Amino acid sequence: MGEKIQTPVETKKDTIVARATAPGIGAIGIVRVSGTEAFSVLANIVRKKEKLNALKDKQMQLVDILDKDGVIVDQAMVVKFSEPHSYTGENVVEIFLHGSPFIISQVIDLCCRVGARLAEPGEFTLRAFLNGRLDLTQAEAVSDLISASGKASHRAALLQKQGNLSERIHQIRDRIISVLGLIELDIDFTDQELPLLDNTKIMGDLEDIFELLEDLLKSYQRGRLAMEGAVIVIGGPPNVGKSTLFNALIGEDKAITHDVPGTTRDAVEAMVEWGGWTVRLVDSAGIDEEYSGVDQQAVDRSKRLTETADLVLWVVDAVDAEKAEKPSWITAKCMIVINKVDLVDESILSTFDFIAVSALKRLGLDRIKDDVISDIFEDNRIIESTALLTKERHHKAVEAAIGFIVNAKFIFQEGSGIELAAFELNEAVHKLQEITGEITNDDILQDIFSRFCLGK
Amino acid sequence: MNEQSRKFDVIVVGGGHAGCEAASAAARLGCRTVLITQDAKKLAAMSCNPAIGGLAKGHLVREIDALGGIMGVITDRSSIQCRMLNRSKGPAVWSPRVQCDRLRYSEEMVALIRETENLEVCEGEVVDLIINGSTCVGVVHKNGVEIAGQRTVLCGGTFWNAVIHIGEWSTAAGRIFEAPAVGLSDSLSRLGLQKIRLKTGTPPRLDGKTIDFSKLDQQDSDPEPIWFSQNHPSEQSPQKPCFLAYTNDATHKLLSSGLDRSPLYSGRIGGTGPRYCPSIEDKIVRFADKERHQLFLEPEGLETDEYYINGFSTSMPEDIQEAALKTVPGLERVKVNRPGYAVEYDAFQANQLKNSLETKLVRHLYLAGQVNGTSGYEEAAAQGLIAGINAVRSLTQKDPIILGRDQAYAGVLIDDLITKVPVEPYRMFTSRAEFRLLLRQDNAHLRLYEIAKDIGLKSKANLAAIADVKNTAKIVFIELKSTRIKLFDTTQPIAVFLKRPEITLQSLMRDQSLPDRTVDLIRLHSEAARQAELEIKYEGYLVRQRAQVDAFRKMENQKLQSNFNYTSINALSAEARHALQGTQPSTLGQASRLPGVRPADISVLMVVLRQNYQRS
Repeated sequence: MGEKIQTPVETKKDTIVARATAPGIGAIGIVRVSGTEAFSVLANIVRKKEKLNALKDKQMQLVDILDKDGVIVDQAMVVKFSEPHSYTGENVVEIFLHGSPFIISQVIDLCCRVGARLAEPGEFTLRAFLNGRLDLTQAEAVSDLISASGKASHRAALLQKQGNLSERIHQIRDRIISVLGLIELDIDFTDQELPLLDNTKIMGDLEDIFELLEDLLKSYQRGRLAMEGAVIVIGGPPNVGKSTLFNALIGEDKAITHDVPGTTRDAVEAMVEWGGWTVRLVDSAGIDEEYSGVDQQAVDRSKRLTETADLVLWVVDAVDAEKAEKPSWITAKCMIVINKVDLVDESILSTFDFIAVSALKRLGLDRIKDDVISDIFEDNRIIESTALLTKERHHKAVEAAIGFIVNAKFIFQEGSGIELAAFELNEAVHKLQEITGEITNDDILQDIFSRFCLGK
Repeated sequence: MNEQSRKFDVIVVGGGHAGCEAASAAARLGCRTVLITQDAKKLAAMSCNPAIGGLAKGHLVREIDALGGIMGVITDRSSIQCRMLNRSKGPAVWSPRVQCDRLRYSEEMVALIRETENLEVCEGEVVDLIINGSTCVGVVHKNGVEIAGQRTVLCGGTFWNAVIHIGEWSTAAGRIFEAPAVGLSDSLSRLGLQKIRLKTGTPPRLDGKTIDFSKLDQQDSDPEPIWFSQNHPSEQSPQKPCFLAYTNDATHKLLSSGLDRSPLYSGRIGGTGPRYCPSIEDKIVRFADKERHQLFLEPEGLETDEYYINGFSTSMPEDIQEAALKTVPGLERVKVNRPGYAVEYDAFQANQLKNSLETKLVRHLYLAGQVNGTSGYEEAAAQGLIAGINAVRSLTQKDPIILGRDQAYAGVLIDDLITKVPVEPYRMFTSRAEFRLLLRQDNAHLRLYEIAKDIGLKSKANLAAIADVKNTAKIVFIELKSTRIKLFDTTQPIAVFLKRPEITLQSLMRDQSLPDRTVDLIRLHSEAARQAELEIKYEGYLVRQRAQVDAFRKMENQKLQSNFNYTSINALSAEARHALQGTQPSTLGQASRLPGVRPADISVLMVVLRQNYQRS
């Protein structure tokens, strides 16, 4: 037939090793080994390997790691997990070292010398997936977990990993399938005495499904904020102390401050954690409608920045407090912050409903943080119990599913062929199953596994 | 038979709907064929209801005709009532159903088979297979004579080790008063094929002279004749109405009183029956709160007063059957000509077959029809046709005909059979066909044209007529897209107006909204015009469905090696490993449809395939 016959082959069974903690200097560095030979790899790099024979699963053991000449590299805690009760589903060894990058790379080298090889990016998770330890959404969540920076993002990732999103999607899918069942019954058993298809009930069901999906879609904003953090742009006219405020909020002198207007030509960004939420704080160049020439570019850039922001902190000099208002060209959420309150009579300010701060004196900064949290992140308790959409891919799929549900509703209203409504509902089911990985799509897999960082 | 005459190219065992199709196809494709059956005068007997087609089954019959089978021809010759079901819904789920004169149907089949060249009918029973190594080379007749055949197609229907139950009475029989077939099923088991035990049932037959039709609702034939075949007679035979009756509380009470004597409820029947076609005793137990059940009285023929009572399938004792029927308004004085009964029979798990319907274990041996766990004449005939064709193609070293799920209901049927282990006799439904918007009953001949040409059963004239419709439909399509008319104060191409649900070509012609040239074109080529109209009306959906087909094809085209050791892939779930190992699917798509294979397992296979691909 000319077609290439592909033969499934045994998955790679070799033993892999990699650093399991983020690069850089930390108190502890973990090296992970996975594969059939994981235990012997460990045995071959320690002093008194017989100590390991008695070691039970998930039990810690102090060992000396020796290099090829028998010299101690580090004193380490080791723990082993036997297949299939490990993260990858294979035999796994974790070696807890003192966090020096040098020690860690030396231990990885040693492991490679005695039979392991360096893991490819995402290979641990790939193996976990291949061994049925993770489904697709869970696998995606792992990459989030690794890059999670704040408490909220950690929680969102953890919930997804525990299958919460899959469960919520399954519930909605089952509702669609139950409507589909009614329709198919009406098509395939039309020659039998059955109650007529109850259009009102089906419209009600579709409306419910629509709302469930809309709720899920809305959770994307929260989910995205939880995972990626909120982008908060500090804007305002030149020389109102934007950079001073930026520095005060991040607690270090990252932005250059100067009293010459227009010091900040390029946006400066910092990640901070407020109340468990990740915030990406951006200091923009001063925006003045009268600016021209070389600075025009910087101003345009600032304007563009505000367009992608979740919130703009619009800073105004306390002297101009009376004129303070949100510029009409800002489309994002906006909070007005009156700076330099230490330079004016405070009684004037009490007449305005603005946040008044002195960035220089570090006064009123907590008010900004509190308002931002309540304004942007809303009620963060929702995170505790509800699965969130955190991926652009999921968002698109839910959006598409909603489109199909809307089509189905329209078909019922118009009365044009319930087999077409069934077609739409089937499409919706497929879209939702794409999220849980139940429809296998090469591209999705490719995308997911290429995004893992080394180690997991 | 002398020594020479006992050698055939193709042996077909069983003269039911599957066997007749298989034998006819093999013979017409030029193979010396023998059809061995218990009673040569009873070919293609309608053991249950006297109707062909119906939901999804009507699609199958059109496809059988499109591929060159004979069921449609015979049905058209014996039609006594025809209806298009689901007419209130979209054209994709319209299904033609034709009531047939039961006796006439069989007579027409006997005549057609008799006049088929290369085809010999041999009365008797086959009790064993002749196996050489792992190849079937013939069969053994009950009288001890061996018949040699290069290919063998088994179509045992419900006869293998069959037992019939009526109340507390039971007897070995395949149809009432007809002996079962004993031996063959055990031969297959000895060869290592896995057997299952299924059950089906049939309702009583009533004497129409004792029915008060004035108390029943009458259902007439559609005004326009419905034909399944391109080669239909010019005139329709006289038509006869069906009637509707209803059970009531008294019926249900009577039936309940006899449940302890029912073989179903006393545990004497072990086989699994169809959930979609429950017996009346099953209905009153499982749907106890339903006040009445509809009964459909179907005429058995033009020259008989006998009626078949659809919806009253039962294996209750005869006295209960009769007493319960007499509680139904209109049936107070009814005489039961023949009681309803249940039949248990052996079938074989069809996942032991290849797509061609040849068994994986025994070469040159094919299984078709109810022995593969299906129910229904149409499902059986479709398999018989494909098995007959593929037996010949294997003999002539051609690739087997494998219909895709995107090409035909018959393709869905066979793919389902070989990928799923049946829990009940398998019946075709439109919802089983995921691409049903494309697989309409009205376009069966068009969509299967190329395959039919390849098979070679269709006459040149038939093929030319189909090609003509195909081409003309394109011309009409362009005409409708390019001709602008004025309607509702706007001027637009006809196609734009056609997309509105309430507008059809017919309504446009009636309102005289079309230019003469367009009207002439439509009148001259009504079938092609209908195709063009539907293509335009459902254009958006058809485009989307075709995109789905493309995605489906991507999976179907990923071939998997046969005889692969899936147990070596630890990544697969234990269930998936078992299913893949046992079935050895031919494509990734087929693997994905095996029970126990979860989508995650398919992801695993895809990753493994890709790793392998990257390495090589």
